[in-house]
Amino acid sequence: MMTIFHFEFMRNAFLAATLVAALGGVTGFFLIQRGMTFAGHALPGIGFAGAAGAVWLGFSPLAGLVVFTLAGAGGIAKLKGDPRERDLHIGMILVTALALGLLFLSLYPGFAEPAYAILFGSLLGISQGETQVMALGSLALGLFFVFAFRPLLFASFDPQAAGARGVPTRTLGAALLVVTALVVALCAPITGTLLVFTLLVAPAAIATRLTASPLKAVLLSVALAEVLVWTALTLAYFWNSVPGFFVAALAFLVYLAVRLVEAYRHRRVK
Amino acid sequence: MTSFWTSALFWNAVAGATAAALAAGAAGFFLSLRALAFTGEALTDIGFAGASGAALAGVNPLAGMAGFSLLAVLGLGSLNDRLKGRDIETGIVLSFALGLGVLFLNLSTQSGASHASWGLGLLFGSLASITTGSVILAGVFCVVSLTVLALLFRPLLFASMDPILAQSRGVPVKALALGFLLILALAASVTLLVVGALLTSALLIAPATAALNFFRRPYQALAASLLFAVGIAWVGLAAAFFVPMGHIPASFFMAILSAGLYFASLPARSQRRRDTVRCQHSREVTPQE
Amino acid sequence: MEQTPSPPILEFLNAGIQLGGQVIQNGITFSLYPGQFVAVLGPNGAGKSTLLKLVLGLLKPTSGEIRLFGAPPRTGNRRIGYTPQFSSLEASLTLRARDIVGFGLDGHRWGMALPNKIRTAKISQALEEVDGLHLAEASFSELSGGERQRLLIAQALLSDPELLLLDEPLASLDLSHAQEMVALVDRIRRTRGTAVLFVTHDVNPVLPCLDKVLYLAGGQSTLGTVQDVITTDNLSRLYGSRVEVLQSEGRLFVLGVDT
Repeated sequence: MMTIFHFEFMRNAFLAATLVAALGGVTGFFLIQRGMTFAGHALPGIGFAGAAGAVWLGFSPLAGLVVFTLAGAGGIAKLKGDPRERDLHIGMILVTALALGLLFLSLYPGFAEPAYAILFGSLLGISQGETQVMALGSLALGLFFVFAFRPLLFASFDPQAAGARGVPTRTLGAALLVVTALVVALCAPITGTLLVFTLLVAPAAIATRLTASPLKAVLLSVALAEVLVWTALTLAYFWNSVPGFFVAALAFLVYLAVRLVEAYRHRRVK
Repeated sequence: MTSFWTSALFWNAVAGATAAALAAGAAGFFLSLRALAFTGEALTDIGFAGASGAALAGVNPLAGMAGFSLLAVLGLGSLNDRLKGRDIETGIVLSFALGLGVLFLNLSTQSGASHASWGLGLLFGSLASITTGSVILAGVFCVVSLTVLALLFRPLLFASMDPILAQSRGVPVKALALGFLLILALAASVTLLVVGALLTSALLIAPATAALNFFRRPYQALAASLLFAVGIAWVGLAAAFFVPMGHIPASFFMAILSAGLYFASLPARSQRRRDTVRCQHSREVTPQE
Repeated sequence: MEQTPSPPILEFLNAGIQLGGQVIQNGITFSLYPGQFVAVLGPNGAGKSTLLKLVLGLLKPTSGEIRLFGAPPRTGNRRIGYTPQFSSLEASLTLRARDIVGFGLDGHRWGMALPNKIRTAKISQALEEVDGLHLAEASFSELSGGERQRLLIAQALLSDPELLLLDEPLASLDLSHAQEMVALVDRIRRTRGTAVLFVTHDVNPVLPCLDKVLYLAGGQSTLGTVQDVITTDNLSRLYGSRVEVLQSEGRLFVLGVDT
């Protein structure tokens, strides 16, 4: 079992995954509370375009990811209108970004391997240097959550009351988007942009079904995210496959189990 | 350039793109009215898993897509009759389907049978390499979608507007919802074949939403949706053949055109809102939802 | 009770209502005669909207019997017109008002419709009957609450109903618009001889044209004139707690309950 950790790339992957899973668990909780999960779906796609562009121009794909997800978050933060209309706008921005990603892939002479790694995720996704960057980034984002936890919670549950009490709700909403963008960029090399959404939303969705207390839900969400990524990385290592699939499949199974238990209990109460 | 006009490859691409545009334009009209955009996306991701699975098993990808998404509609529809909105539930199913697709792709690249560029075709469209078999199947799906939607047109429109009122008038609302999702699965599969799993909203959502922004008569909006979709497909295809910059896929041009059309239609929507406000002769309290 | 020569168009015979697995009314009995205007009153959750769904045939009574035109209710009955509450309307409807109203004529038919002068004329006539012809080309989603309500009534009139079921048509209207709406419904009933079941929170706007009140509360119901039903004694009995009815300047106020 411990042979996994003989390889430096596995140590890097585990360290990075542990950090981003914790962040993803917290971020997802707030995305769900604020009805912003669609942004969590769109930002990875936008990030992929950035990674493909960076590969085409000869930069690090991680840099392209960060630049594009941040720009995307800025754009989404500026959108107004009712949630449905906003999601349609986001959807069309996503289509534009993905089309650009496709363009960059087509313009790249030959096979753009690093861009595909970002799309599908990989165990080999992270180098030693990148792990250090990710550790620092995760620490900063973690501090943001510790610092802003209560106002963020207040603004999510009752924006009007929070606004009246002087909580800068708009700024916090934009800040959450920026944080989501960075978390997406950190998750993507491991799970792949196609499946970042699962890591962001599934643990929090399961946790909020199991407990009503916000703090418990956040802690449970983080714990679930950790278990998910560790199991997924281990399975991916032994079966020589993509970790993203295992994250999505495990999350789906746990969610399904929770729903079935709920349905069973509901029927018994009746 | 003349060889294109006579090559089977070119005409296959034209026929496939047209079939996809017509099916997506019609299904998208109701998708947009019923606010099911996210469901449409989930279905394409399920179709993606079906296609990659089919490739692994050596079946026609379009048949795999349609089979998978039809099964998914039946399964989800019976589990939960409100397969609707941007539910987190839909999102989790969507992720699982994508994950499955990625796994199948990974397995088939490992088995050496295919190349990763083939996976790229599933995600971003494979119009350039569409086979005659797929084109025929796409045509059949297109005809079935259009026929059924024409037959269901009025009751489906009624049920999309107000399900309870429609039900009270004897419209079988639940059966219609399931029937529509089945047609959507077919339309989404053909669209996926042409523009790829990641870009389906280019044909499925943008033309219909823009049409509904420009026109408020149902038949006009439907016609506009079909025209926009076919226009995007043809112009995109032409651009891919004539823009002299290497091999840029047609789905890139289609996606850019559709996003452009969508954003260009937004002023028409807000303009109409202003007109209506101006023509209201009395000030009344608007309902609070 | 005065004797009416024609048979009742709607009868509830000890009908029970269930909502979300809970019995909320265990035996409603009343009769509705042609041309009558009856307000359905009661607190939230008493089963007012559910009662309409029973008449529409969307739900079945848990006990007892309902007879509509002498037969059990069924969906698709063109002899009743129905307007739902706003909340059930899909909000983002950008279609024309005229097309929404047209559903009342042929929304349930299969296939697509061809342009048709008679159809257009019928829709225009129904719109005129609710003073809404000027709204015909507007987009439904951008209309005000009162305007939408009038269009829904036009839609309900298109099948020439003998019974109109109106679910909270006064919700979100201010007092003067509520009075306009009531006057409109009263005019339709007088010119067409249509019976009306009118669900509302507040009895005051409908007082001028009421024949009877059906009051649902505390799992029980009474039908009668306003003077008989809305009294301190009767409502206290229904609610099972002390309720005060006050009368002031021709308006009725029920104190001690949330309506």
